[in-house]
Amino acid sequence: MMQELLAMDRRGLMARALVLLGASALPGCKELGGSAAWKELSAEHFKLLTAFADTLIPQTDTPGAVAAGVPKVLTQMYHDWASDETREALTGALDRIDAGARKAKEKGFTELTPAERQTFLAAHDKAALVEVPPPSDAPKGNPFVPPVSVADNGYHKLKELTAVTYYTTQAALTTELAYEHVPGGWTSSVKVTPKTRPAVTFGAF
Amino acid sequence: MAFDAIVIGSGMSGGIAAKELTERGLKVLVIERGKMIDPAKDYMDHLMPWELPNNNQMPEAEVAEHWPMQSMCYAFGAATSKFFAKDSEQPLSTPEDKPFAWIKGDHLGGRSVMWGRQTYRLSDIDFGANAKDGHGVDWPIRYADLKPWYDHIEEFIGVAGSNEGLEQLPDGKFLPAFELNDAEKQFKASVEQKFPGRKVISGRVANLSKAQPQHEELGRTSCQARSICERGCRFGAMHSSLTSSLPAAQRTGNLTIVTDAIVHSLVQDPKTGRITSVKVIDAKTNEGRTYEAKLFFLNASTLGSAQVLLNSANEANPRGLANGSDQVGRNLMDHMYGLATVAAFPGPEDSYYHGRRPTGIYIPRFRNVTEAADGYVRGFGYQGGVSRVGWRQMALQPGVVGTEIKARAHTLGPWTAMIAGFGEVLPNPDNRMTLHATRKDKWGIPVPHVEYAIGPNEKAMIKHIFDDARAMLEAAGGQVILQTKEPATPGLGIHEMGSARMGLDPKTSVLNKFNQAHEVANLFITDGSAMTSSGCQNPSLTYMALSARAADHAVQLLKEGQL
Repeated sequence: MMQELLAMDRRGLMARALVLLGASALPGCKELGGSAAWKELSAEHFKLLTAFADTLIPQTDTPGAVAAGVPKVLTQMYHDWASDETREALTGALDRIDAGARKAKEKGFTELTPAERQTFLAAHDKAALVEVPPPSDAPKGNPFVPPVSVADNGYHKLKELTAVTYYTTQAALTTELAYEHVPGGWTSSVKVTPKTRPAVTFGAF
Repeated sequence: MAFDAIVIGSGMSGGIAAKELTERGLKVLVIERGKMIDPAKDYMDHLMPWELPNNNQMPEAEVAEHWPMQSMCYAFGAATSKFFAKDSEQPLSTPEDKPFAWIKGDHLGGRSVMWGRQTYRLSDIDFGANAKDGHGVDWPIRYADLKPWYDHIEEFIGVAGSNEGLEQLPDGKFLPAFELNDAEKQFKASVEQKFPGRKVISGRVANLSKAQPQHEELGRTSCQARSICERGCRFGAMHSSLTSSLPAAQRTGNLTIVTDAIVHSLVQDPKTGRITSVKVIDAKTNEGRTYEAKLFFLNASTLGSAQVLLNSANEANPRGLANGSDQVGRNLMDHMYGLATVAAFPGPEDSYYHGRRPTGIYIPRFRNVTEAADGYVRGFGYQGGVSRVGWRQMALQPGVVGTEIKARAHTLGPWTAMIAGFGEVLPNPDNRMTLHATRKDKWGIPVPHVEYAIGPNEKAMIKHIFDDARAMLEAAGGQVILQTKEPATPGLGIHEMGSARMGLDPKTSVLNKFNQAHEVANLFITDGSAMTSSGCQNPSLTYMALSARAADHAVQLLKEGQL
């Protein structure tokens, strides 16, 4: 199990460790250009986002991202939360998924069968997340949250946002993971059983 | 209404000052620059994760405009943004190449509402450090002076912890400690066996592991292991001014609170040298008014209190009030922070834990205590924990999509250990806050300007913090995955202190051994600014103990007619 850990997403691990320590898990200080203008995700992009979320986290014996309402939450966040820069990053990433599908399969991503989407997205994901040296003018970030530098930074953001949103929904937290809002007390040792699910933490520990 | 005493600031130290003064019969006014908080309406700790807006994030453009600095704090989010001052309204000036972060509350209770709650005593090793190695000036007190007040505060606020008999980290009046999990017990056993003199203990924390009658009287109950403490706790299970000290002051019938009142300056009677009143600006209407009293406690936080003193310059004191020594604003210190080492850890695969414990493990200082250091004075402690990694590290791998994400995410992850050093910083007069010569905030008060950098002693210590962490994790069977490279931006330790230090000599210090200004008899300062050295322990407990002790002394002086 330890060897698996060494291969894990180090940035994510760092972010988690530093939440433990009390640092921000978010790229806090980055200056983001913003505007108060109402920005709506287009119907086209919503369709793409829905197909992407459905492929990334499909329905199994538990709800997938679509049944859990992730595309709706993300659409809301697109106008309520995202900066212009993030909006561009997200729609750009969706556009590149679609363009990639057209190139590989001669069909838009939404027109592929679920199996085709899955195969395509696995390859797209792998290529998009290849680490690359940051451009010389890239923001330095801070020691806790080094800036992301992968082949497709927008895709990294899209995937992370989609997954984090899914694992914050009531559906995911009550079926896939374990969450109790008021555990009632601390028990330092509990035997793992086949039914044990990872508990989600939102605080520092 | 006539007040005997005014307390400026309602946070960690101001809350305790108000409690102690009102309990001794004084009519007290607490002046808070931030907004009123009503826990019943304003806390968001009842919301389920999926009920928080935008996954508990504030809109990015709003963060960039109003909270670029505050959002560097882990506790900042949609559920807590009301507790953080807007950088756009309360800016801090620093040189371009020397950033310093001032994480700042903007509400009744101040940072006591979202603090990290780690609670440790200083020891005689700390109180004697300046005298021993010659950095800074000698503390005018020793551990014996503060011990009864540490006892007093711990019993009141409630601190979970274990007594360990350590010279460098004195024992206290503790509630039961939050037990280590099985992997942490394994780590503890390895470290203590392989490094005699080092200890791994449960992090001492101001959460009620078991509420006592004195807590229940104030409506507080035992900790529910939610670990979302920074949102404010409806159970009252963590100490904050809002759960403990202000309610205790309120029940005496002697407390008045005014919020949205920004202290501009203190007014001194040129004949007697005494403070007569406080000038405030109404945060909402910009109108000025004054409040009078006999006794003044300044608890506006380390930078805030220095700002008030410097902005209270008058004809006789052109350099600022109580500043004949020229030490106001100097000797700024903040623990080195963010020096983290993470390792994969061979913990028991069949063991897990339940609940979200509001603390982790603590490794008390051993360098320059039980073991020699390598070219530096003072030392450091570690905070951390060993836990099973969450869904994100398991699931978010390149090329992994679809059902595989779900399968990985719901598989219990392996154990990882993380320990991070908190390093002592020496008092250095050049690490300094001044008032900006021209910039003013929206209320016309000069903006604080901070110049701060760590020196050679701190840099030498950093190397040891990393090396010792690696050695302990590896000795316990861990495999180091990563280490940070440098400390976080200074200020992010959120332990800033030292800007009006205590000392024996009025020529080189601002406050005497009872936190009374050498030059102004009816002025006491008991927040972080009073600290003569920083130790490496989280400092809030010491501020509170100093506050209670100073209040007791001030009331005696008042009764004797000396103020």
